[in-house]
Amino acid sequence: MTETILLITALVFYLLSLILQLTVPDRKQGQYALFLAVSVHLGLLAVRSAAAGHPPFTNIYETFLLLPFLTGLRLILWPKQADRPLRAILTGVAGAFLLVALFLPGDLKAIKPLMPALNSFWMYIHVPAYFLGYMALIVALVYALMILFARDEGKAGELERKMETEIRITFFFLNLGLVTGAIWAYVSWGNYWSWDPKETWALINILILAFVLHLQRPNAEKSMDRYSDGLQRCLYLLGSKFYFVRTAFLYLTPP
Amino acid sequence: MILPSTPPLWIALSLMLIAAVMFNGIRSFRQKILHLMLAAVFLLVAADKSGNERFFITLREGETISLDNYVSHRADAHNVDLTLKRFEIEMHTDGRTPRAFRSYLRINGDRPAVLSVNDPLAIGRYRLYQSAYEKHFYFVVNVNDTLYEATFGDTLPSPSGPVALDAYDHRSRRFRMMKNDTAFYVPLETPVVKHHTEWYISPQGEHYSSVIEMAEVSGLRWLLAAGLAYLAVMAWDFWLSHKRRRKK
Repeated sequence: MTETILLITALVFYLLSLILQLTVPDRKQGQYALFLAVSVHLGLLAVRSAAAGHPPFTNIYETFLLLPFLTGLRLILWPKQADRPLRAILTGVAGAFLLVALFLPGDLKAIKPLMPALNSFWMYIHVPAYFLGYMALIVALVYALMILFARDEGKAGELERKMETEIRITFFFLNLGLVTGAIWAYVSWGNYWSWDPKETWALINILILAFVLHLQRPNAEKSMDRYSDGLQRCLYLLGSKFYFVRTAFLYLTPP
Repeated sequence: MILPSTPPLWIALSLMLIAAVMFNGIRSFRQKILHLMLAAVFLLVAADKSGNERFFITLREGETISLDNYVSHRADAHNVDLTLKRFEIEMHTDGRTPRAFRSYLRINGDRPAVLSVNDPLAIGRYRLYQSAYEKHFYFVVNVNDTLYEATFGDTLPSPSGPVALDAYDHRSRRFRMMKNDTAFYVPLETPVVKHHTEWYISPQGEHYSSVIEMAEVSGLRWLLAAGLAYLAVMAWDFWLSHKRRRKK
């Protein structure tokens, strides 16, 4: 019950922050509302962790709570990194995640004890690494979409540089997640790589991002076709997001 | 000799990366280092996957095996006997979800050791991992007044030849016994005479078998070091690229 109240309160503050960001010219008001949303969100995660007895990243419901929290926290901690449209979109995305969490079926929200293989120190490195990667991936995807609607080449170029930075952050954290997952699997059952579906998808995800990174062209060619370039990257990043969604649904399996 | 049995995929991947560096497909010095490190990781994976032994052992409670029968010429685990004293499943407070799987072992009869998920056991250059378990129902089978402890799949001696304890039919409450591909049935706790032999079967209880994966781990430290070094160089490269972009 406490959890649901906190969830709805955080959702209301995210919505309020979004409205203020879209309607009030003063940036601070939206930021204050966002600060309240993230604070309540933190309380929600603390209540959930205390009830479950472990950090909140072991099932789909907790996934839908933690990812928007990291997104909101990033907007609070590094406010200058995101300009007005990006802030508004990311606040909306965080709210949308919470809305999905609110309406998930009860059995997906239930606290379930951890399986023996999940009782590991490596879970506390492996899973957050992926979450940080997916948070940067959301930002990259938003930048990729914004490139499609950029007014001029200069703006598109600036957005592209920012998107590439986010993709690099994603790439690093997904690699970190893969390596720590391999170490965890090795400690758990002695095999760091066995081509199981989860490992294979994690690799495909990294290959997609590696492909996106290798799409960087020399400057002379860069202006050739912004739209097809942006569209391609949107599709690739959406491909990577698909992995997040399917992983979230299968999350109860170990590394 | 590693190459003939090496998984070709890892070799092919590393060769592609090396070729990309050699033929200037990658121009930045830092990126060259990064790609060569990744090639090194793949080569170490290939070497590990082809050079290191890996196999499963299934041990019943009370059973002792000699690792001599499993490991090859690499000497570290020779002359080692492994006994499973007990297998334990610890449950969470909900009573349904397991919290831990533990094998209580004895090494060479005297050294106690506990093997559990996420807590492997080292023997020489091999590691033992708690992989799975099997649950067996054991029965006391009386064959012409000689008692045997048996579970499904076991073969029992009888005057008319070996007979296998095949299955139990819960509806008719009787055991199916197989003799030369011909079935006959023995009701639970009811003496019967079949094939000139008197049979009586009663339940004894359940026992566990622990399925243990045993893997040779030589060279894995190098692989771990290479993987972490690759991540560190990647982070360094990204950071420098980010700084350069901000300056621009």
